[in-house]
Amino acid sequence: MPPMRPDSEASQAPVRRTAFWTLAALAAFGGVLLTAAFAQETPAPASASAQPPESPPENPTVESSAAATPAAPPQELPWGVRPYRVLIPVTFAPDPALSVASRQAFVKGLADRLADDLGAMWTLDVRETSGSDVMPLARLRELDQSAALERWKTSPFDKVYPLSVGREAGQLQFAVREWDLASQRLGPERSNVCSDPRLATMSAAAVVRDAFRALVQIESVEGRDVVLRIRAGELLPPDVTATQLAPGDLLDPFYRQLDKNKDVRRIQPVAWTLLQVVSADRARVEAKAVSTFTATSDATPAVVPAKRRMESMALATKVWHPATVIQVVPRSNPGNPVAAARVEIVGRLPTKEDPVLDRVRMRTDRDGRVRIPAEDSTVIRWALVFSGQAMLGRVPFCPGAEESLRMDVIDDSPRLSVEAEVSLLEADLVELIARRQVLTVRAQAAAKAGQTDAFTSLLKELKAVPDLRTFQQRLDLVRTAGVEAARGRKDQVAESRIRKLCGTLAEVAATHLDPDKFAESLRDLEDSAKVSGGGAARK
Amino acid sequence: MKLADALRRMAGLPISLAAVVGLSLALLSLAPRPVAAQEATAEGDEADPDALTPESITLPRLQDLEPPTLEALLNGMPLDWVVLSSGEVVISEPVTPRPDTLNKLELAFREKEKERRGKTGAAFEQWKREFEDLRFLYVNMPGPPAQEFRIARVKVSQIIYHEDHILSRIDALLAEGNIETANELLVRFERQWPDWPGLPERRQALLLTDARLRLSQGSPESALVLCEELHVQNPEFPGLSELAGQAAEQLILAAQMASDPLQARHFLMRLNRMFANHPVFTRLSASYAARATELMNQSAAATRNGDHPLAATLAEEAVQVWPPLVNLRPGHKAATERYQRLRVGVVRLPGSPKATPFDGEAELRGRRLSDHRLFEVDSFRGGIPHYRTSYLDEWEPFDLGRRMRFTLTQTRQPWEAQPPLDASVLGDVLLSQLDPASVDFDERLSAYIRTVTVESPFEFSLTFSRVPARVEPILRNATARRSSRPIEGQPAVADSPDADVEGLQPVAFESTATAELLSGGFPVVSSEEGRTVYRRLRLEPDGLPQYHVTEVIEQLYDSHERAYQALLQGDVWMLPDLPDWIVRRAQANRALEKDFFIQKYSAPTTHVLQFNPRSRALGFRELRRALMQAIDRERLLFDVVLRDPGLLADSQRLQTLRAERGAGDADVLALSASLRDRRQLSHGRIVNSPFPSFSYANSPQLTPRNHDLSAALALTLAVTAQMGGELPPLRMAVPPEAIPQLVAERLLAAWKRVGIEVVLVEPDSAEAAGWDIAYRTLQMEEPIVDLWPFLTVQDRANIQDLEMFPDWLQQGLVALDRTSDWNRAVDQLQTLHRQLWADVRFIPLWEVDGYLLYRKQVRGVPTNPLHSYDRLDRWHLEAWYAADAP
Repeated sequence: MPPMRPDSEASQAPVRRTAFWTLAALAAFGGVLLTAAFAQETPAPASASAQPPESPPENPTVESSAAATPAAPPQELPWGVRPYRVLIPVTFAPDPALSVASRQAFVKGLADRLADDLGAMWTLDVRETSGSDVMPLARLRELDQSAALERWKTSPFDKVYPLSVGREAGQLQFAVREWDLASQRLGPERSNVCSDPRLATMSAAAVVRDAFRALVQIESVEGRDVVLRIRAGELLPPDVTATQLAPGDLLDPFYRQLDKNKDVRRIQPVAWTLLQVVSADRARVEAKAVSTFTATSDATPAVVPAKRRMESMALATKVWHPATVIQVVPRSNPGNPVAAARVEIVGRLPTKEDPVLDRVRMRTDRDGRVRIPAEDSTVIRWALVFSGQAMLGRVPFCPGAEESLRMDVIDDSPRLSVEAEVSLLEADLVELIARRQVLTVRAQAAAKAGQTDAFTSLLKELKAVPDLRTFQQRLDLVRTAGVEAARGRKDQVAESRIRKLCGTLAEVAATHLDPDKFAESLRDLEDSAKVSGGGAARK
Repeated sequence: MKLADALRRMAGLPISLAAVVGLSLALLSLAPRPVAAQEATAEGDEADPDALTPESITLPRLQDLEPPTLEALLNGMPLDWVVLSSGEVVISEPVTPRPDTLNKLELAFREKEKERRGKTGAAFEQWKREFEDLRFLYVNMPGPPAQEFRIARVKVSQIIYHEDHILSRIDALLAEGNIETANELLVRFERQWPDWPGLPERRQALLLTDARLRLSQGSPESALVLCEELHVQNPEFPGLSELAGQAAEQLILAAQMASDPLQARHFLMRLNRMFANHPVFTRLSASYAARATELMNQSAAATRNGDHPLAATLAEEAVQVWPPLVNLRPGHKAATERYQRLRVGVVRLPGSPKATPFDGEAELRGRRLSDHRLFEVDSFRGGIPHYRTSYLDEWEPFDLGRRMRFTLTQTRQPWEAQPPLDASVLGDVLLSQLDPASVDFDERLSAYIRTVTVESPFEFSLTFSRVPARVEPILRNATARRSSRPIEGQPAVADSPDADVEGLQPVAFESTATAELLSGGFPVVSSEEGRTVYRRLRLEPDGLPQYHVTEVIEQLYDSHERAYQALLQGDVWMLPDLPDWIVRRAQANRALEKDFFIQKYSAPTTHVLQFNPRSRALGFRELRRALMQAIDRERLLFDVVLRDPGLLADSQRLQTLRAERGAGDADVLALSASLRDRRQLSHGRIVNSPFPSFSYANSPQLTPRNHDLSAALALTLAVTAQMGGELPPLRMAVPPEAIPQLVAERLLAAWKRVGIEVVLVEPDSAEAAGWDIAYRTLQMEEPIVDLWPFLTVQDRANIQDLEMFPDWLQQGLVALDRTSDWNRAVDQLQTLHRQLWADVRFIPLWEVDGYLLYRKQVRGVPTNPLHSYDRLDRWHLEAWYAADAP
């Protein structure tokens, strides 16, 4: 394991520990010698690279050798035995009760506690911050993704947990967030309070562990089945509750695009995809991929394993928030979120055999948002968004894992306006059919009763009822306008839906307004009038 | 035999008269032969025609005869008494000529004498015969057979005619006080002998006697009426003046006891009109004048003490007591122009029971008095409302409308009634409407406004997260106190059979978080049976050169007709909501123009049938269409609303002609053109939308939807099949006003014809909890923002209320709400209108032009008011009172 290197801006003596268990595990692989040192080490120059930091050799001989000849990049440990390099910069609120001695004791105690709990899984660096490093609670809360990236992009640590310690009303308050280097994601704030100072380190350690998100590599994918390897998964923590993953846990996959120098060029999350742990055995994890992309076919893989210049990873996700707000936004018109859209939350995708009747029905508000409360554990739910009769989209998510999600959908307004017109035309069709029937019955009755004038009048009225051709003209007008609008937006899906909508109605109209049948019924009427002696003449 | 027959005929006569007549007949049967026989005798017999004289017959004497009985007079044969100079009486059939027979015969005799000259021979003989005849009075004795006799005129002293008997009998009956019988006799007499001398006197005597009798029986008013009638015929009739005075005095005293000075004055003036300066009038008027003067003095004292309401009340009372007193005018003017009360005649007061969940006209009036909107519609130009504001000097957009700065007025007129606002107050008001936790939260407003910034005490600015097409409609209700509760109302047939049907909750004013900040206007100060009083909250200070309306008193009447009469009599000064037939009558009354203005409102009132969006049955479009096509809107409009028989008849005739001859027929075209012109002149018209027909929101592409029973029936059958074979009855809520009630009756009948059963819900009953259809009247000023709450039957535009509608309609309304460009918004609105019309989301009935009728002493009313209290705070009333009692 390469020696630790302190933060380049550290001004105080770091406290280092080397775990016994790490030595034992590494010895099993043979060929790697661990050196535990309490000596200070010179800081390494900052670098944006994600390469494992180069460590200065302890042996002066090695140093001078290094100065003379370029050092070979140290080989990284295998993923499963590679511990997390963790930095915990602790910021104490200015409080007279937090004396220098108590702070130092706290820092040491926290390091010890975490080491006790996590063992070799973490290579830990806990230090008190100063100067520009300080991260009080307010700043911790204001910290966003870009600021965190700016601060820690060149950090050698895999995880950074800026911990804020304060006092209010006699209680110690702890707040922390996780910065994950691999995914370059900042986790949500986790906080804790403690009334008994003696339990401070325990509370602080708990909140740090709560913020921790396991990192996995995607090793292989077959359909929806995914095999993963947990970082430091073989380095089992002494505290069994600190096990990184368990069945049912969820992971958020992402890809790391690398350049030819193995530097990270881009990190690309896999949208609307979650990996649900099926089984976890030390570092090996089997999971199922749940994705909007595999919703229709298992043959389409939701995630892909690592390639030459692409690392395929996933970060554990938990229920962090009381609810998740999903905002539905048209892709081509993001300024106008889809308001009043029907959203149904289901536990599984409906099929013909299983229509999933127990659904939570909601409507988006004026900002296109629906709020789904979190559940007690990480579960996957599907949000089905409808526009009229059509489904705009369906996405899986874990309520509470993310505070807000944005769902891009197609702009359905052309199809919806056609749906409106078709709906009205349907009503007209029903009316036409009903009127024809009633007039026919009345004409028949008049013919039977020999009421010539009434029969003639009714027959005239019957012939004046709009026919199939007129109806089709109206329908064609609607279809043409809708198709043109969809083509203008290059929306083939909408275009095909519009054609289908109009086509269905056209078929119904053709069936019920069949001109031949109508002509035949008219002839029958006239004949029956003649038979009855009505004397009604053909027009 | 003949005598016996004659006697039998007179069987009904009293014995004495019958006996006399019989005796006379017996005697006269021995009398000389009839005249004809006598004439024959004159020609062929030289016996003296005067040989037989009454002296040869025994006749009764006048003093022995009793007057004919009433029965004889009423039902018997009319008989005259020919009184001879001897005192005897010949009772005969009525003599001719009559009356004044003897004089007329004498005149004829003298005229005949003059004719003698130049006559010879046969002519002379003829003349001689006629001349001789005129010496006699010919009498007919009752037969059979009728026998004619003649009596020398010189022997006749007088003739007591049958009519005179009747008159005497009338006199006797009047003396007895038997008015009915006397009247009966008089009526018969008048019918038969309308010009008989003495008749007018008897008529007058009857009136007086009747009046006296009624007065003694405790009916002074009818006695007074009779006195007035008698006064017309004969003002000098003895006893009339005294009797009239007694009757009037009784009435006046009774009115005084009932504290009804108007009534007392009324009777007093009636007496004065009959007899100027009658002692009763003089005495009482002096006392009234004194009382009025005392009241006016009290009024002046109240004014000096600063109690202007009391001063005005006393002044009004004073002029009610004795208005002819000229001295009252200055005091009345001063008091009533200082504290001005506008009396308005209405047929319904706010808060009275109603079945519908919407504000009725009464509630709307109350709202307009109490609320002051940030922006009010000033006028309509090209169908687009233009706004004015009492709060702002200017409002200026920046950054393409994304930011707007508002500058509040810093000066305020003393008569302005709206609450004083500064920027911080208004900012608080707006912020409370943007806060989801606030009871005043307005979802729509919060979607538009991002921030509210108070820049100075009189300036604030808004930034918009979404720029509205027009700012004024969005903000106009910002300062209006709104109900904290949405309009509720469950349909009769709810979505699920187990749904709770909650009580109908009308929109009510409730205290909200910002209510205190927005207090102003004319809130209700008292509401008792028969009237509601609104008073200006911010009173005008003393020392102003002119004051304005301080109180509005809405006075309740049973009907519009009564209210109209009250206006003419001066009890009220304004009528805000009149049915059209009264308006037309008023407009046709030239005399009305002298004292009243009739002004048309700038926007008509639209009548619609609103569907409850939660009604399951009305979720079927076919049923909605059936409801619409079953009713003949034009017929209802002309027949019930406008009550114009001419228009109705022409409309019906046109329909018939068109059906018979086709649309191209010359007569059809002519009648169609004529009807079109008349329709344009009428005050009502069929509409196809819930907004005015001149509104920009009307789509020009609507397909006509006429009254068509076949279609309605067809659709009813179709929807019945869809609903499983049974159509549930629908419940309809209708306002209590007369016109909607009448219309509703006709609608129910029309729907029943096509098989749709609809029942009316009773106001304020358990049944009012659910409704499917409601009759609604409204003025939708700004359809772009008002259409959404109209469709959802709520007072705000909330997304959650749209869930009952199809997605295309929901998205259409949302898109309309989001559009920043006015022209695009209008296009979208017109498209929505077309779709709503085709989908029959409501049934528009008609719109009716409203008129405000008010006395000319009300000043400051806008030329085209938007509503009945438009800019009321700047109206002022000129002092006036009715000098004459009605």
